[in-house]
Amino acid sequence: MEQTLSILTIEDEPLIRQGIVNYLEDQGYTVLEAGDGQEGLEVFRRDKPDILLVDLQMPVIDGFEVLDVVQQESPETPVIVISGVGILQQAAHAVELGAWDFITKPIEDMFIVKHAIQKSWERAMLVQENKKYREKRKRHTEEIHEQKS
Amino acid sequence: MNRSPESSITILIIEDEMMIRTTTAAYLEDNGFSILEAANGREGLEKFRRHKPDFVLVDLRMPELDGFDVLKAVTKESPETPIVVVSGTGTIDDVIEAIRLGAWDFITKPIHDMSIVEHTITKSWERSLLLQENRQYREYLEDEVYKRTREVKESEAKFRSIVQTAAEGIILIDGDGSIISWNQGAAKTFGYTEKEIIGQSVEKLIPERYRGGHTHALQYLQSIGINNHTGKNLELRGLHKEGHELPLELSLVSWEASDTNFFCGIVRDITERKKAEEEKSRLVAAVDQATEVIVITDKDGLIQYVNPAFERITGYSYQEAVGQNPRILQSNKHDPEFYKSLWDTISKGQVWQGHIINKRKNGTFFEEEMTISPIRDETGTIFSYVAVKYDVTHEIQMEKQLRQAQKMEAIGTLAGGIAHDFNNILFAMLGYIEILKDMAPKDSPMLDYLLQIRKAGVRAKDLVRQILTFSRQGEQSLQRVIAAPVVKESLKLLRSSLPTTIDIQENIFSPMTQIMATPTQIQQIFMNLCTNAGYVMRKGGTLTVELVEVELDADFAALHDLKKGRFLKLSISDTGDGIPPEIQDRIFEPFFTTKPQGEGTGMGLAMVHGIVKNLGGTITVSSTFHQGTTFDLYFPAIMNPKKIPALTESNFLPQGKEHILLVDDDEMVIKVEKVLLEDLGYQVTTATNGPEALEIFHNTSVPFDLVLTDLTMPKMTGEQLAQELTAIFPQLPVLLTTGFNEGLNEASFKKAGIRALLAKPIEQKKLADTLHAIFHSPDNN
Repeated sequence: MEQTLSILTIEDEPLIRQGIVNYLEDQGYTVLEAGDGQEGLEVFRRDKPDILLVDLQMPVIDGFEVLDVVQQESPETPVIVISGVGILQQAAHAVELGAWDFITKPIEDMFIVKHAIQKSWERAMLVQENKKYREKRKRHTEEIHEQKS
Repeated sequence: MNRSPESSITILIIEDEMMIRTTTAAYLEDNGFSILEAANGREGLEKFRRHKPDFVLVDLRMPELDGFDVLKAVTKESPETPIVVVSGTGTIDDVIEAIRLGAWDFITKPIHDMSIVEHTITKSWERSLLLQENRQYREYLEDEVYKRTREVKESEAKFRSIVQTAAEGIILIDGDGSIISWNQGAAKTFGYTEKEIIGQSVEKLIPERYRGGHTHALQYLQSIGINNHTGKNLELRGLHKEGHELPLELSLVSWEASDTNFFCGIVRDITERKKAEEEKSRLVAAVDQATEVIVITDKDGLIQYVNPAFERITGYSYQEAVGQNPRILQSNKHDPEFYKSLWDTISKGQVWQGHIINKRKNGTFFEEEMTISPIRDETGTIFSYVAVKYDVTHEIQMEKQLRQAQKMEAIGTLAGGIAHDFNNILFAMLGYIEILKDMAPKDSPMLDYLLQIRKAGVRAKDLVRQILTFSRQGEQSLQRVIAAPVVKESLKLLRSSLPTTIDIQENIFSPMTQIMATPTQIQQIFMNLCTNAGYVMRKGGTLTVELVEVELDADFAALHDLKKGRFLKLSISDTGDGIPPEIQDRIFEPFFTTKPQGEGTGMGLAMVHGIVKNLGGTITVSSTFHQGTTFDLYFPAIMNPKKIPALTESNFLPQGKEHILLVDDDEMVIKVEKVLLEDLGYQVTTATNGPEALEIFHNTSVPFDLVLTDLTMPKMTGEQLAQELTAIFPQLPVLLTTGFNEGLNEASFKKAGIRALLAKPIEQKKLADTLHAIFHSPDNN
């Protein structure tokens, strides 16, 4: 499933961004990128990526704002935040606000990115599946009720 | 996510560095988790197995049994328990290996912030819950699917067995007409096994001449969409495997699948039903065409069916009869006991058979031989009655006719016998009166008394003649007569004697038809019937006289003992009160009259009857109460008419001087006849028997010109005498006198040389004319 996943990376530091993009492309993901929050939201709205990687600290529109918009517009799209090691409090705060996971910079190993993406996607799938099951079950219960009444 | 950790979650922390382990444990305990601690892998696994923690946090690098071994054991023994590994920084390869082995997540040391630990645990726990929940859902749904599938399978098996064992053929075809399902009923109906027919075109089941139509119908059904034709039963012909056709009833159901229609035909072999229908229509035809009347009623006796014979005979139509009680036919000719016993019999379930008089719609009666049979249903309860009736009116009529004819014949014979003797007596009396009359002094009152006696005698003679006419023993010298002029002439005479209130209609359709009769006979008949008609219409009415030539059919002819062929029919109808049915049979009997004592002799219609029969014809009467009576008289018409000279009559008595030998065994007769002959100028010699006559004939000095002899004499009959005489003198005219000419054989008389027959008592005029004709005929020498 990774092959078809599209991932939007929003990172103002070109070097880091490029590193992530290169790695993810190598892993077979479809990768979209944006240098700031503004551009990131435009791409998000236009291309509807499956997962977002967002740096928390960016000028003008920062990662929190992006998180907030995505939360509102597409609550089921996983958002993974990237934060500096020294400011873990921010990451924790983002998770409280609804980020699905966080990655600390400097990124020790790109495997961590991939792992975070996989975990989030799996969770998204589980939630989606859970929702479907829930609805199915609900429908089914209603059907039984109808048949009985 | 901010979900608060469950208080019941037990976390097993396996960490060899006591500092990290206790710090972590303390932090997590503070956050509500229950904590189990283990300082190495071995202890960790022991605790894991013993306490079954909800969650495992394990350091990868430990002496003895390290984190990888724990990981392997836990994922193997309890793959659903979340296990998170703790790894040192810079040893990412360990992490990758751990995740490959089934670790849910990892935490790197040194742990900068304990919230990372909590976040990681929470996420894995959440995943565990989601997996568990989804698995439960999945299991629930799978279970449901299984249950449903089983239900569907059971239901399908049920329907399949119904379909398979149904007596009807149930055949499923796809949109292309290929058979996709075939049951035992279909196999039985068409002869193909399921194996032989599945996949074949349904056309195999249709006779060739219908295939085109079937294809069209199928296309049509496809085009109008599904179920516009369901619930309709069609009757059509099917083709059996062995090549014969069979009548079928088909009901069709179809439904739409994703891209094609399916048709399900339910087919019933209706051969038996068709046969039964044919049988029924045959029976119906038989019942319809039967000459016997057939009436079917329900158990209460209300008519449910009548056949055309019923309509024909009773005059009631089917519509009028159905729903009615057969009582509509009741004639009241039977007493209530009769009907009661009839009903008692049939309601007991027995067959009633008998003779019954019923009444037609028009009020006339008819007689039937009837058999009524009750019909029972399978429980033995009577639900219907069938009456089969044979109209015997015709037979009864024939029988009556025959009886009547026999009676008339007997009366005739009796009357004729009496009349014959009486005639001879009268003849003598009148003869002597003639003699006395001459002998009586001119101015004596004796002459007047003699004339009175003669008048009475003549009346008696008339009566005898009438009786003889009735008994058909009167004089018969029939000739060709054109009836119409005689009828017209008589009608003219009649008109003056009938009151003006009677209108006379004259319909002569056959003015030239000839019959064998005498004008007097026709006149007699006509006057008699018309006088009767006038009598019954004393208060006015219409007398209709019709003369028409008809062809009699065999039935009518047989009924009246006539030869079939052309007849002249004379109809005389009045508009009087009609003749009551009960006396219709008796009106032709002699001395039967409805007129008051003294007004009628009762001989009129008897004479008419006698004359008509004598002329080889018949007379019928039909009468309707208050409407009138019609007499129809039938006379055999002459098929090769000849021109007939007009009749002349005169009162002139031709005279003669010839010598006549008079022979009779009755001396009184000899004396009277001698006077009559001498009165006419003839010379007369007498003899009282045959041998004496022969002797006189041979020894006479004056030759005889003619012999007048009685027929019935002792020793030698008149016929024998004539034979003897004409043997010697073939030219000698011999006349025969007789009072009673039954049994006379004209041919043998002719052979015996007898020229003419004279009825006794001999009228002088007749005698004079006959003698004159003989002596002056061209063939006489």
